[in-house]
Amino acid sequence: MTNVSTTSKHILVVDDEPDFAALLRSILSDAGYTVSTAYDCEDALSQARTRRPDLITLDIQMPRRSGIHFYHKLKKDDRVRNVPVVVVTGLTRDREMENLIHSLLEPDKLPHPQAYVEKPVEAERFLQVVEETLACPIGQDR
Amino acid sequence: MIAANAAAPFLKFHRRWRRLGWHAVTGFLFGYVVLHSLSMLIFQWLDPRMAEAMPNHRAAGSLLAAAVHSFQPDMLPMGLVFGLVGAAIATFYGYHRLAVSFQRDRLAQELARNEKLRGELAVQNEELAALELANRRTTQFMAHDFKTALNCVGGFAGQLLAKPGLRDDREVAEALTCIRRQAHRMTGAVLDLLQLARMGEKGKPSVQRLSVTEVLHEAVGDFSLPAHAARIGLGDRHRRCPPLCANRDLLRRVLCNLVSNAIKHNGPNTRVCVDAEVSESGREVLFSCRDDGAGIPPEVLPLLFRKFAPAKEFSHGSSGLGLAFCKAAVEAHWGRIWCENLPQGSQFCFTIPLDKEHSHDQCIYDI
Ligand SMILES: Nc1ncnc2c1ncn2[C@@H]1O[C@H](COP(=O)(O)OP(=O)(O)OP(=O)(O)O)[C@@H](O)[C@H]1O
Ligand SMILES: [Mg+2]
Repeated sequence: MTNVSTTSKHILVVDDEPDFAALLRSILSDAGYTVSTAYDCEDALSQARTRRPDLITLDIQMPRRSGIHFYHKLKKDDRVRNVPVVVVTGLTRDREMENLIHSLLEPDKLPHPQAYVEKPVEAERFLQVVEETLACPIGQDR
Repeated sequence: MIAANAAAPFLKFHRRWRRLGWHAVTGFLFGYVVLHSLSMLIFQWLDPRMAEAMPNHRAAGSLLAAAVHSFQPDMLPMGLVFGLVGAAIATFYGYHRLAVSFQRDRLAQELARNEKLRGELAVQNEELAALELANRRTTQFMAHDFKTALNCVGGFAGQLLAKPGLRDDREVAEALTCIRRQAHRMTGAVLDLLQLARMGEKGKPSVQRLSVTEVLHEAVGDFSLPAHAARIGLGDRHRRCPPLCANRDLLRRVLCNLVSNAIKHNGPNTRVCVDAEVSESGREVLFSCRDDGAGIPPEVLPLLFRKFAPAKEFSHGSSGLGLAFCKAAVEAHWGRIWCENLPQGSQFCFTIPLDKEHSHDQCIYDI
């Protein structure tokens, strides 16, 4: 089943740590996705614009707040604003982190990311989240 | 200026003693002149014959006669007695005031010193808070880095282990399993440390509804468990447990810690059994981890669950944080944790309340 539905899906992995990006790439491509990686905000934006991915995984804690910057620019660009985003973060997923992210997005009334995954990332759980997010296109979710 | 300053207390001191002298003199005069005369008056009034005894007859019977009589030379001893009594009373009074004023001075000094110390304390507190913040930031930063790095190591080992070509080579597979295990173990330790700090500084963990059986399976199958962990068994009572509101990661880490302790601190052939059941009261789930090892050394028993307990009591190469983390995590869920030595081995138990209202309250925060 995965083969049919996922081979066509393209995922953009945005993470400033190349090794970690490589790990996510390995997990995703083993599951049959087409994966490209970007290590900074600009590169990620241009890649997202030239080849609209089906999903983006984003490390929100990249240096110089570039993770947040990227998210802002993505959501303000009509061509790519509908690409679902899975936030990968080293922060523990609790109210504190959600508050932080809310406070960053609130001023511009930006929509929230589709899902959060915390480090350490486990292949199985990560793939499950990605699959669920892909299955639930933007506009239809919560 | 400085000399004047230094002399000030001395001058003040001097002035006070002089005032005491004045008190004595005034008291003496008052006794001699007023009290003595008054006493004459009173005697005269009590016994009119006394008036006749007074040499000054012309003034006899008048008030003045008594007063004048009191200054006659033959009345001197009497006057002296009254004067001395007056002086004693006045001196006593003066001395009392002096003591009070000394006490007041000391108090003022004490107050000033307190004020100063309080100021210093406030500054130190501020510094401490800043230091703690910096410390926390550094810890978080490092933990984040560690997490990412260890995640890479363990994650890639896992990825490679999933590749049929590599998995089938026994030597490679063993090495990869070992890498993955150590990475997961370190990740666990980093997460425990982080969580311990977090639980200390603020409220309750976020919770979600979970299946007890699932969590137990996850814990028992955790990649971080030691290599000779083949003899870990799951009981069969856990299947009858209702779902639980708890933090999945914390619960799993608690169970992992207990299981890994049972293996780590006993021989490789130790059998470990993990299970869960609804307690007798029906209001909590009772988790248990039982081993058939050597039991807890008696000298360690009182130190268990204590953060940073003196490490020399603990077995070699231990941080002694594992159980402290377990206690904090369980208590953050309003549960209890304890351990008992069995005839053979030991058993660690902890509870997580099922309390409906309680868990409902918390589950609002589900994320
Ligand atoms: N199942 C057990 N059997 C025997 N001794 C135990 C058991 N569990 C704990 N202990 C004793 O309790 C001590 C404290 O355990 P704790 O988990 O807090 O620290 P640790 O395992 O030594 O170090 P770590 O922080 O790496 O977990 C251990 O050193 C050990 O002596
Ligand atoms: Mg331990």
